[in-house]
Amino acid sequence: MTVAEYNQCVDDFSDGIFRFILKNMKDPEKAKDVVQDTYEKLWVRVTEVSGEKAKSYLFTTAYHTMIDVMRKDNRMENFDHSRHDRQVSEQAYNGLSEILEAAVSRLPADQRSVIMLRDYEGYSYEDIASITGLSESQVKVYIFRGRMFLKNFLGSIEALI
Amino acid sequence: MKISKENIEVYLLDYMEGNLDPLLTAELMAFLAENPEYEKWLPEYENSPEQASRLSLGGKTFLKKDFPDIPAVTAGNFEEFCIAESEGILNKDDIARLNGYVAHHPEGSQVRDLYGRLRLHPDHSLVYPGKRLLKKSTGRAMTFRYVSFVLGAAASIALLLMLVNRKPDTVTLTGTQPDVPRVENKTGQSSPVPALVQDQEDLTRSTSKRVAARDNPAEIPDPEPETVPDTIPQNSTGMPLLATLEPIRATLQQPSRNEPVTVRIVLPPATGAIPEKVKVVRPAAKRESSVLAFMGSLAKRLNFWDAAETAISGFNYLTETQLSLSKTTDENGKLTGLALGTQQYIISGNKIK
Repeated sequence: MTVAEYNQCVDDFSDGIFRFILKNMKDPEKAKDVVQDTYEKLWVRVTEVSGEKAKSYLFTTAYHTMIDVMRKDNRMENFDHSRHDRQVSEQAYNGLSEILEAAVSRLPADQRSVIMLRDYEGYSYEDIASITGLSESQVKVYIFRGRMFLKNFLGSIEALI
Repeated sequence: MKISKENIEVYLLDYMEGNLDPLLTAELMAFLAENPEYEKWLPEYENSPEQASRLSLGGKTFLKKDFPDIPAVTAGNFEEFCIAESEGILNKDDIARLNGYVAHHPEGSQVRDLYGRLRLHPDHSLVYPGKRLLKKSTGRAMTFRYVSFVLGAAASIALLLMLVNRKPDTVTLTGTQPDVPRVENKTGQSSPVPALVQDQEDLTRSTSKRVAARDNPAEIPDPEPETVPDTIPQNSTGMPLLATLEPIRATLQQPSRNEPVTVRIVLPPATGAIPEKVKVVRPAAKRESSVLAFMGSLAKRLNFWDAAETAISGFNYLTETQLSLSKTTDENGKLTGLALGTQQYIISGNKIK
């Protein structure tokens, strides 16, 4: 990869990676740090990573960097249905996108990541498996279960409204 | 990934599909042995008719790669078809079958509609603010950096060479003493001025001319061939002035800033013989005159040592290296040697005596 290609990667993918990390971590500063670390790692291996593989490399690196940060911060918590169900009834939403955003934030980290990679970036199951280190079957299951949860969450909110 | 209660379903699905390698299969069996409540999800348990309907293993149909292989859309796999439709992996025939099911089960249309609205859309207002800092310099800047590196190195080496190779400004002066001036002592008796004093005066005048020429290079005249007198000058007593015919070598020390010009005179031992032909020796005078004039004017403005240290500092800054320049001096503080050091090599030189 040339320097020009690297800079093009910054233009093309940094926003997507930032959104992906920010939606997962909910902390803009930490999301910025993850993006910066990700591109620093790419720059270190700029001669080894080809331009075609750059996006996959960036998202893979960003994902694993994010997981490391979250583990370090001890924020890898499983979804607590009772707590969030209580919050749902107390929170008001102004539109479908806000409801979906709230629902996605309540997903377990693995499900949230695969659904975001699928919807935001349009990755195939195979690519998502490569990025997250899961098997393709695991990716499909996580997407299935995540969609089920989102549907139930959206249905419950609409019922309340 | 380690098998846990959170991902056991995934491993069971892989196991049922035959996708688990022997190692993971062994880990799965070990996990089931420790957690018998999950054994009911094994395929043998699923084959039991009365337990099959209670199986809560979600997504099994969804995991199948080809929905056409599924014989019919049922209440058990309806949501999986809906998710597959929202994922865009159903073909036209499967969509038609799903439409047929919804036509017969209108209550399913709401669920299907919910799944259709679940696709997330990126918020393009969120952008990474530090793109400029992430970008690296392009080829033009790298070329500039390379050129700076080369120029810095060249300047440093040039200054070093100038410092090391500064030979003494040696001129050989000869001259005649047409008449020996006399001085009077307190008693009124006159006596000749010693030859050495006379020579020093001549040399001082000559040096003054050279210094003036150095300060004003434009006024340096072309060297003219000097004529040698045919006759040996004599003093008032008619004797040849042998002492004045001896060559005198004068060394002009290049002055540092604000230091006076010092002249060192070396008188070779007198041979007592009268040379047949006496010349003024100015080796490469014309070529060196302009160089000396330039060096002289430069020396007036620059301290070479400060300039060299500045060049090395600039070189280190531009190239992120750690060159060092050191000097050695004698007991009088005069420069006797220089050394240019890197992390691996040292280039050193001593001043020519």
